[in-house]
Amino acid sequence: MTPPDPSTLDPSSVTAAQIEAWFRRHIAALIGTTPDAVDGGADFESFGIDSLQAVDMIVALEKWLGMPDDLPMEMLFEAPSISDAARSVAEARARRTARS
Amino acid sequence: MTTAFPVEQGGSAAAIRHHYDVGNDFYAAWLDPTMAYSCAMWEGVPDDASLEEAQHRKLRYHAASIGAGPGMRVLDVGCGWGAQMRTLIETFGVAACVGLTLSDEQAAHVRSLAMPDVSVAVTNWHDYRPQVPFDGIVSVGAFEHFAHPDQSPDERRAVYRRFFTSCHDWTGGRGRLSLQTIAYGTMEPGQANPFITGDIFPAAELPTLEDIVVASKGLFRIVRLRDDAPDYARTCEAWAQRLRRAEAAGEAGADSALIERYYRYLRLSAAGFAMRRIVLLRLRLDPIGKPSRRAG
Repeated sequence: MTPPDPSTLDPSSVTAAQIEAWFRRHIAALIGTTPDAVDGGADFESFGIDSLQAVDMIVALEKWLGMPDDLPMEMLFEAPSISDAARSVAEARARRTARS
Repeated sequence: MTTAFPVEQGGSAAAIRHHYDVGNDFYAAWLDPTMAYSCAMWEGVPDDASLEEAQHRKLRYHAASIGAGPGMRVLDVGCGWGAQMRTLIETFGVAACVGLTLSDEQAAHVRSLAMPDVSVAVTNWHDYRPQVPFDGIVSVGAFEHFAHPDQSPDERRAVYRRFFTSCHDWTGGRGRLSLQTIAYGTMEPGQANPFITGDIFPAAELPTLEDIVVASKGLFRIVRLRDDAPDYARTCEAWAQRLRRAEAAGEAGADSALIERYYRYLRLSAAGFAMRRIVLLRLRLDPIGKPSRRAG
């Protein structure tokens, strides 16, 4: 149930699929199910995640990706699906890596 | 949660103190040097302007909105730590400012600045009875505190109506009002996150734009209305980052639970504004009835 160890990942090459897997594990732990049961095509609100849980999730994600304060929460809330959000986060991560 | 802060006319003093009296040092650690604890303005400043520059821009905007100038007496309803009054006096040459706040810590801070021609009163606007009329009024980030969740929509509008009536009276029907407030956007009353309404800002209920239009009708004309929600998203993000940096530098105090509570609140608020679930209204209201004290 733990996310992949970030030290084993090249920060510049975290893929959308890895981020989606992270989301599914995180949500599964929150709602008490297995990651496989979390549909990547569903949006975040459909899991009954409240905004406080969403803050905690994005802070945990930022920590994992090593990009503190850098992901706008609306990237999650406004995404049509978890997969879309994961893609947006991966793009933001790539942009940030390119800048630094 | 609301029972701890019962309805008080014009806004709950206990609720205001709950939020603002956690300590001036805590706020000073992550607000910009002006100590402005309200939405900054990024229009009219360079794209890469600092939070402090954008706060000064906001302070000048409100001063200009009321036509502030030499010889005028200005009331600041919800004066915070005094930044608006300083701008009015030092940049616009206003003769005198009176600030109202319900927070003892804010009042003490303003007094410690020892600004000539500035006075501060720890009083609710509802109970305020000035001896001499003002030439203009600024109110930034206070209107959000006026209504209580336990009040009906009609009761809330009556409170707002009372406020606009008071502003009209305090200027003898001749002074402008520059008002800045958070309002409901696509989010409806009752949908607010209990964390924000209950814990961070107890006993607060946001207005809607319609509330303001209805409550000010016949007293003030709305001559300018801006919704600057993106400005507040950017302000909250800047505060969140500054809070984290202050925490890392050991400058935000030892209360890690407090820091975490505010950090989450700032991140949540930034998202709320970015998605326009809540919005940031800036209104210039000109009095109806008598000629304005100042042209321009």
